[in-house]
Amino acid sequence: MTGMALAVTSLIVLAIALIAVVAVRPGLTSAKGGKVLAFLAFFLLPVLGGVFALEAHLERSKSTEFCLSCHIMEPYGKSLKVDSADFLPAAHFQNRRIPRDQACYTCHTNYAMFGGMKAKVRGLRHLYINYLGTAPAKIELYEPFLNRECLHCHAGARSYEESEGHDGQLEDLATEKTSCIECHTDVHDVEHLAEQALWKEPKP
Amino acid sequence: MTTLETSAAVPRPIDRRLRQAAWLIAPGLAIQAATLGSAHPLAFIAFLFPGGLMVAAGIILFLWAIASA
Repeated sequence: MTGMALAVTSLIVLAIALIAVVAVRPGLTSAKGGKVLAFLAFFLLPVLGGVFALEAHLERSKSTEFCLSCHIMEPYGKSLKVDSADFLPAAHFQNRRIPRDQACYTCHTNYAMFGGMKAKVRGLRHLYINYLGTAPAKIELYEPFLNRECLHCHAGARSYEESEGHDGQLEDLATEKTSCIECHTDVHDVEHLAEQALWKEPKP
Repeated sequence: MTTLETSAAVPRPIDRRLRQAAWLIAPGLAIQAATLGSAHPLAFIAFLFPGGLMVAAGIILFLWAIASA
């Protein structure tokens, strides 16, 4: 449990204790101090606890562990371990170009004003489909993957701008005329995972 | 029995509503706290429903109780 989760749990435990006191002795609320206590116990602490707990949950929902906890996402998690530098997600994951503990979220969040919010709404839809609906046989993105999400990190990087493969392409890549994945075609490719050797992460 | 004792013994309507609110908020908060230990999507669902719903209903009941007292 993280420090934030522990702090929120303590806040919630305090709220429950105060609620119990007021519920057992409601007569306390006749006095001014009792009214303040009831307001704290029944309103302020539960609201604060709920908001902080929601924040902790939303932060955790960005984790790779969270995304891969659904069975249907397992092959995508496995594709991060493919032992090939040509596999885009694997190369990013294994070389720490993205934080390993937020691997999915880092690339699959639109870097626009409401990108994070949109990702969370979609996440709720995924939960609904996973538990109450029928998941499609082939998982596809809602919309084409934009260069913007790649350029959020790569734009301005020397390795990107001076790469021979990008010669004369920078303008088209920046304006989405050419897609990054037109050339970098090996993305998750979960259909052919069985044919791939996997990287074994050395244990610390 | 004195007048003071009589008034202390008779529960006020707000007392009943406070207890009802307590029965919604406390278990709702307990559920929310329990879900904080897990990174599974079902924990998030449990946090929202029933945890969040119970807490919200309890708070509304509490506010209604003090407004109508």
